[in-house]
Amino acid sequence: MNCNEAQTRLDLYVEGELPPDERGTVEAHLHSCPACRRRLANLEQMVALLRALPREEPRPELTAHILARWGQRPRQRAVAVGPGLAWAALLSLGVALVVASGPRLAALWTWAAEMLAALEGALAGTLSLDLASALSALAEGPAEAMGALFILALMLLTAGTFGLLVQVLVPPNGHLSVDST
Amino acid sequence: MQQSDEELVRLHLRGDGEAFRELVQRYTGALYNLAYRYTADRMAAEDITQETFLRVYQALPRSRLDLPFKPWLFRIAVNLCRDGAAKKRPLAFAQLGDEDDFLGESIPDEDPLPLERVEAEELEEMLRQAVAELRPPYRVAITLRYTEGLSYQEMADVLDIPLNTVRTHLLRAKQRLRQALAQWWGGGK
Repeated sequence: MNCNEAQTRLDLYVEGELPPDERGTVEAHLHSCPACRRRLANLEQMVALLRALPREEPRPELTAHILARWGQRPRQRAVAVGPGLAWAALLSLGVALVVASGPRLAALWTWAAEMLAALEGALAGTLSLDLASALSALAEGPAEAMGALFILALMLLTAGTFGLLVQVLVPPNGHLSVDST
Repeated sequence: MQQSDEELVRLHLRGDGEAFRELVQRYTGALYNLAYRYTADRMAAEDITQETFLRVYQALPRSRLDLPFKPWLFRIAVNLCRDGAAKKRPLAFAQLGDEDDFLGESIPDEDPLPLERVEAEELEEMLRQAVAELRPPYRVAITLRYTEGLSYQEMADVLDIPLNTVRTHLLRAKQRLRQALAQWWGGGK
């Protein structure tokens, strides 16, 4: 490589944009050519000067002005309303539904307990299986049980919908922005 | 650790109002500088900076998240600069710059910059003035490369010009700057 060929590549060499194979060739020439080494130093100095050139600074209020344009003020405080609030609301809803459906759940519990006692007695042989009362419980139980199960399904559906709404409405970082001004 | 631009964009799209605020604070200075270097007009630079963020805000929901944010942002700003320049004069930005073809590919630069003879501040002011007197495509190329640290390929993407044209713009810009600083470069040569 002669000086003219090296000179056309020195700029890209300084910029780090020369292909690796050509870098080696240029470096070999630089090793043996003081004139091209001076040219390289000049180019490096120019690049260093340009990199050090400071930005033109805008007015300090420009950022606030831009943010205010779509209602996001620079001074905002964040209020955490994420998982804690969601779980508290869910728990409250669950308690309210359980209280409201208490009688039906109690009936379901009584029916289940009676059936269990009858089965245990029969299996242990200490209690003769009262077929009449068992059949009666079986006839009455499902009506109460279906009512209670319906309430439970309704609770789960409501809770699921509420949870989905919380996920959609509350930002993923769990913060709602509140303007402090 | 500072979140990347792309992470902030994703957070913004998931409803985090703070994320876009962070992007605005991060890039207001850079966009203003780029616009000012192009327009040499502070009011126009502020308008372009604001308009760039507005367009980004509107375009983000439809944008491709796998692309780097910074070059995309600068591309919007450069296009706004071009639009503003086109209103003042009909010649498009991409068409500028070729009239300097008479310049040789190299300028003799045997002597090092005699920094020791120049106060640093004075040299900086001279360089700033010399950059301001370059043609708009060269000013923008210098800004994107040395102030914003974009690669040649990113510059080609931002400016929507071939890679070779990026090389040419930067080379010629630096040649012009060396000419402008000639009195400090090799004893007035």
